[in-house]
Amino acid sequence: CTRRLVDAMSVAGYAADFKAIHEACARLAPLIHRTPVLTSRTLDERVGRSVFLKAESLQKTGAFKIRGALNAVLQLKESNSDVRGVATHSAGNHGQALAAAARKCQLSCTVVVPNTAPQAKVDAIRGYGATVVFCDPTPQSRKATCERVCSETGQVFISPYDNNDVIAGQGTLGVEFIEQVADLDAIVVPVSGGGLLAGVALAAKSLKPHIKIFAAEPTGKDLERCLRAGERLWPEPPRALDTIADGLRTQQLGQLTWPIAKDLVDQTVLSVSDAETVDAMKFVFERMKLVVEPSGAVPVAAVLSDRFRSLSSDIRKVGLVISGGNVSVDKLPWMRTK
Amino acid sequence: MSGDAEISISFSDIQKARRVVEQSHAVVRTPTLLHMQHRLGQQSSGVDINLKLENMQRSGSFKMRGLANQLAGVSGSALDGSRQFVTMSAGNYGRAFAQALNERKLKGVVCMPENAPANRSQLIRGYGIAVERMPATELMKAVNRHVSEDGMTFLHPFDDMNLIQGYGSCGLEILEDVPDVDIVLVCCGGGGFVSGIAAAIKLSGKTDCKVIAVEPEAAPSLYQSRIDGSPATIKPRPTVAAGLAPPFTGKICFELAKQFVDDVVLVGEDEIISAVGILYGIGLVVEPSGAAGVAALLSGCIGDVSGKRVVIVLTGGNVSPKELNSWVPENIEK
Repeated sequence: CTRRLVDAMSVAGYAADFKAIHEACARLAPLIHRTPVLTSRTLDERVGRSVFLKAESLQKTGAFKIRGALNAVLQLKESNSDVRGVATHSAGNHGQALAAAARKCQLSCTVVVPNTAPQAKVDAIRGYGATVVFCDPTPQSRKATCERVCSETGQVFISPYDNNDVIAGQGTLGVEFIEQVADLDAIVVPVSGGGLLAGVALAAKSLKPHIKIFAAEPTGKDLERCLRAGERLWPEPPRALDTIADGLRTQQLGQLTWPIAKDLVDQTVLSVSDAETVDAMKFVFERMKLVVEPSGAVPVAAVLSDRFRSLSSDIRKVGLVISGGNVSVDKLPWMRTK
Repeated sequence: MSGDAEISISFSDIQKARRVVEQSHAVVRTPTLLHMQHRLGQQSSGVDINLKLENMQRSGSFKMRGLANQLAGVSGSALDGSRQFVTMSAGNYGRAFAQALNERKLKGVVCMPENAPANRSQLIRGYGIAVERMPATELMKAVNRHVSEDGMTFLHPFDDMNLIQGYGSCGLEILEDVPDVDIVLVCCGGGGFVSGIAAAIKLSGKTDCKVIAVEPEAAPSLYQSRIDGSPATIKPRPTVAAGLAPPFTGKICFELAKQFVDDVVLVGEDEIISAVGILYGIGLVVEPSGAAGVAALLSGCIGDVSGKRVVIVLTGGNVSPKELNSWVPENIEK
């Protein structure tokens, strides 16, 4: 069964495969943290299952994005020794990660940032030596501005999610998680463009074909309808979601990530509201002493939901990808309610 | 060993306490984050920094380790619910005390200095434990009254051998997480935690490892005690590290620190606050009292750490966003 699934995955022509992920693990190992998996008895009691949190908020640059960014930049340099630099569009964490990866590899970097991005993320990108160019907070403006930057600078565009090496890099998280927690029945992954979701799904399903991969989204993404129909049903032109989870504002999955998600991700998608996300952030901060940004708290909110509670009791051990912890101390959203 | 012949601790005491702690549902084995020097901006100093995350211990500080062993040392009749327990604490000990008793369906009283923030009382009452607020000078008297008149069992918040032996479990975990550790930095209030860790490490045979206590300059009780050669009573100045400012060093803590703790260093308020901010920036919620060890390393007062493997214990994380914002006003850069 394993063999058939792995074969099917390599035939399917996905943007990345387990070989690429496995190679990325070795490539990244000396450069990133093997982040810890944390647990909370209180969370287990509330969820009614054993919950394991992969704390990527403790990763270099404060989020999992460094995996994909570093893998892409290293591969780019390897294949193209003339490359001058890299560029991207990002609401924050990918931009920061790319800036850090570029600096590590001694390449120039430009990041196109929506003018609604938190100041702390803008400062962090500049802190790694990258140039910031602002755009309107729409997917179209991000894309158009980035294209202009690339043509002007000659820098190579590194997509936050629609890039083979980025997806493979994110997949290394899935490999670690499975190595760190025996017998995981499911992994809950926050989803935006789908790079993390696709990478983790590929890695996890290759190692454990029966594992369930659940996407956790801010309300309004509508991923479940798309997965059940097997079609991209999102409206055009691409929209940004109105959500407190500033890292999860892209409504649509990417062109490379969608085929992977369609095949490997469970059709039950866990949708959470801003209020649930804030409650989850507060819980993790107060009980687990982890600083988690809204996007990173979405999987926690997802497993606390009634929908998740109603899922099969066969799901005994569930892993959550806590994607990042980049939130300013003065922007912790539950402060005012106390 | 030198020192008061009545006050001594053996490795088997610590191992026994470790077994109690391991079997206790009240205590977890906390993670150690390895090789964090880069994230702390220390990559060029050649030091290897590892963070023992006791801020993630149950109840938000290391105190549960000691409490589990204290309660194990109490005679069975006191644990059947017929007697109550009493202690005095404004801070993390009182919180752990309340949580531990609540989990075992026991009742008790925390005598609290009246200047402690109101939310401390609320939190403890939330566990079904009574709180009595009074001037700090009245605390010991109130405790004694509860013992003699109400038949309560007193659990000392810091100067207790069972407590300190329980703390030793953390030292044993550190040795397992970082077997070739050279230096351990432990935030120091009453001195129980650092003494327990130091005793565990030295008695296990790793006598070349230096264990260093870190106190706020505003409350140098153990520091002063070592100068005096006896447990000191000091008048602490106001400090953000409220958990590290007892008015005196306990007798047991003093004796054990004398035997096993290599040095005591002091850190300033700004250094502590800066460490809190830096730790927040790498994703960890650490209260000022818990960040003193990191403050000591970053301020350079540990001396030459090049080529050394250091473990810094983050002793607690009970701090609110409101408090963090009052001390760390700027955005944290990541």
